[in-house]
Amino acid sequence: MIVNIKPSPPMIFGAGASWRTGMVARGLGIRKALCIYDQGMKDTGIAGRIVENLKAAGIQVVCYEGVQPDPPDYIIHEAATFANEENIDGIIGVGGGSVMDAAKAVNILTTNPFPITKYFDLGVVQKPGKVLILIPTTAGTGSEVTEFAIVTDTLNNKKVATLGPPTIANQAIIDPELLLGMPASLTAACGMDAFAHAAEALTSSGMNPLSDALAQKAISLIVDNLPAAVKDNNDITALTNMSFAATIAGTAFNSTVTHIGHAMAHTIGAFYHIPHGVGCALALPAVMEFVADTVPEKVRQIGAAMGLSLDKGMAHAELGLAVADAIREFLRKIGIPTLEELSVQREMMALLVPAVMSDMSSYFSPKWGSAEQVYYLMDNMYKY
Amino acid sequence: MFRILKVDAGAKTLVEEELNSAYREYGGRGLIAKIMLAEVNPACDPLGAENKLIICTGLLAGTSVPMAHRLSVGGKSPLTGGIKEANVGGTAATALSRHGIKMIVLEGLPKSEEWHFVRVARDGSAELVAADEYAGLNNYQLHGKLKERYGDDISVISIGTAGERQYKNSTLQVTDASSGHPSRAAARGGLGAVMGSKKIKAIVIEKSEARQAFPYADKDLFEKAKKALVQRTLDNPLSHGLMEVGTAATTNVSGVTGMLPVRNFSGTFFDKLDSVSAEAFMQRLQVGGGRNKEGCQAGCIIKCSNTINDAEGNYITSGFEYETIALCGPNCDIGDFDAIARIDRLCDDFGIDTMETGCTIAVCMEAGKIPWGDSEAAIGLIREMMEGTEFGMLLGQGTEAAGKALGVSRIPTVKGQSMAAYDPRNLKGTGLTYATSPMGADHTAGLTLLPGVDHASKTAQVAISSQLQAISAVADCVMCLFGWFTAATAPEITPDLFAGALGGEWTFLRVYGIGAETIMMEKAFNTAAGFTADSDRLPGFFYTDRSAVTGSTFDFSPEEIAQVLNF
Repeated sequence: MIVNIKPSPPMIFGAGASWRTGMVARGLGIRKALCIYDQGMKDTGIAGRIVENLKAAGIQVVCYEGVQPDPPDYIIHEAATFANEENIDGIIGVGGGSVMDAAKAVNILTTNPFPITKYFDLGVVQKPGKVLILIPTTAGTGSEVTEFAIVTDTLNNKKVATLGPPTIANQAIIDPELLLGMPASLTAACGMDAFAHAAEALTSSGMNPLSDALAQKAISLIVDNLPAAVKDNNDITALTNMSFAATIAGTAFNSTVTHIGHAMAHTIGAFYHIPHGVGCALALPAVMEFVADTVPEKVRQIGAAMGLSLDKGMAHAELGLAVADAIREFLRKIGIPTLEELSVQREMMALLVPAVMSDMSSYFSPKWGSAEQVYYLMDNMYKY
Repeated sequence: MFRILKVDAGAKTLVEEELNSAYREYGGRGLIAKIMLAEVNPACDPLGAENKLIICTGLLAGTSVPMAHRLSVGGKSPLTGGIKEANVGGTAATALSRHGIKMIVLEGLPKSEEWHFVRVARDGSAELVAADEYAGLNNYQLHGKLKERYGDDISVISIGTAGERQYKNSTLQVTDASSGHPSRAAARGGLGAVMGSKKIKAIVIEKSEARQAFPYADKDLFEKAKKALVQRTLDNPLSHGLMEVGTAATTNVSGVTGMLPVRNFSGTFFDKLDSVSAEAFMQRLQVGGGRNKEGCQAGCIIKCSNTINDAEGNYITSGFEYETIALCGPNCDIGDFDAIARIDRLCDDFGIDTMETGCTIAVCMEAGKIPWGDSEAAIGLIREMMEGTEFGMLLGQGTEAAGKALGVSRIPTVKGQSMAAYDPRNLKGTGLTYATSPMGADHTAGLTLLPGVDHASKTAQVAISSQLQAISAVADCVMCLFGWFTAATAPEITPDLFAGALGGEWTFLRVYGIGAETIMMEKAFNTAAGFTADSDRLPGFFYTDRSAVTGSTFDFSPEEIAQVLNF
């Protein structure tokens, strides 16, 4: 099989790496930067430190502080208008997935015509934007290394992705110290987003051997470090390993694209406002059972990466169940709530099936299920 | 809006009825599927008494939304042995809608040799007219004579002598709005033969004195949605290539990606690509004052079609489209627009499918019957079909019959119908459509040429083919596919179009459901006609022979293929 593998941006990784932001920005030719973040990053003081670091390197900085989760299109337009008025030549995004996606989308509009809705989904060619540096503060969405930016199309009330090679950052700076003190539930949710990225990358119909290698490593790191990071948000070793896992999981799915687990998470998230990572976590065991008959060797690899001993003679259904149950146990360990606890009624699953099947992520499932099969998949989330 | 005309070819009667209320929520391809499943024995002889030929308009026919006046022609296909809908543009659907006629059905089998045509007069009355003097005429001459008799503003649906002889590659041809010639083809699957078996030569529709008003449920809602859809269609980048050039622009994409069929789907680059590029087409168009930006139906806002003239300014053909260019051109190693245009004219006149014909010529070339690239010899084969020589009659049975008789091993057909101008190894989603569509190897049933996708990769193709087949089936019930490209991606507009026109609660899911239901009905018919999962396969050589352009084969397992259309 002939596969497509996409490039990743250069990465600087390690505790304290964000101290190099100013130096790196200057080296990439940035003289006036837009620093883009949200209220949360302002409140923690992280944004302020990055801005000071940039200024100390002789770079002029203007700030946009108003990013919201699943950034609405009008936020992108507001920020890009500001950036263009200020004539910036570089953008630094510091924050979680929503901030980094906003930074990518804003960057498109510094050299391509408005509105951002022109660049949704497939195929519209974009010119490269200004120099873009992304600094994640969660572990994480992997957005710092991918060519996707999720934006909310407020006219049609749906989330869509702008995507394409020009969307990707010029430089990623991953500093585990920025995760210190993160609340446990956020650490758990973000960590499971990364786990889902890795597991879905391994089983996606866009799979490739490089993504496979990275994804397996990501899963091992997450299984070994996420419980510790949830327990103690000052455990720098655990946070370092989680940061690395999230970034390489992002690199993996950048080429493969995620699939039906993410389609389920998007749908449940849209209807019930469940955090993305929680939706991904709850979908993942069901997805393992769903795809075990189609990609059993990959499900086995996921199990092995988790440290499970799986008998060579296991039937596919057994294999899927074993890996799914191991994930369910892991979710309990790190405190992911159940759908009942989140007040998501089981009877609603049937009504959500069409939305899941029309989410383009589901197209990358290794197995294209009928509506009935997808219903059972959705209902299976309640087995947790 | 629900008048139907029923012709009993045996009793030679024409009666008028109202469409059964159970059928009123269906249009076009969906209406055909509904009726075929309910009223026609799936095991019947397609050229026998039990088969019906159903000619009907779409769900929004009679409204003012652009491109809603496509015509659907259907029945059991003599070529595939399964259910068939052939979709065609032209003036007929508009003319029928003006009369408030939803459908014309031809049933039974004549007991004598006389020919008839159906005539719908200006006042809306309909009759069968004796037509022996028109039998033996091909479409261009036929339309000319009918205009002399009934006036220039008639719309005609007709068969040439190919349909009279019941060739399995025969078409119904329809009057083109721009050129006035019989150049729009309901081409695939040999439905011309069904019309010929019932000895109906044509359907002549005079322009109605008054236009039947469409009973809008909520005209304001409809108008608002229509305006938004029109603007969205004009703004859609996918419309622009069609508007600026026409379907001929496709060679620029297919030619460099291995999708363009070359020398009987050999999977190689075409060495004369510059002579069939979009640029070459635009240059050739200008010769003798040819034109593009012509609509095949009144009110079209995309106007993708054209008229081709010779150097002296004389008309050669119109409706000169990508499929004809590719399958009668590079697929036969021919890179000469003049020759291909002459082939197009001959096929429309005689009433045979240019696509099936192109593939048939190519297998003859592969068999060494005529040289590759010899356009005069290719035209010679068409003339043999027209003359009805023994070899010509064989060719009229289609690519599969001709290929088998000549001992060719590489025959590009599925369910007996030849493929379209996309090599399935390099447009894999469409390969899955060829394999699984109840229509046989058909591209409009689910063309997967979306931007941003690696079409030579298997990734996501099962889903893409499934979704596009469902969406394309809706198009075949409602509007020209090129307009549907936009409507299908405007979920905030399109349901209102239906609600405003037809009334009731409409969501995008309900719209999509029209397509899914249509396909499921068709699959049920085909299963009863004897098709099994083994019919959902491509010819073996696509699995084993790598395309030299991409290194790809059509590497889908039966299990993967079974997931397509897994509604």
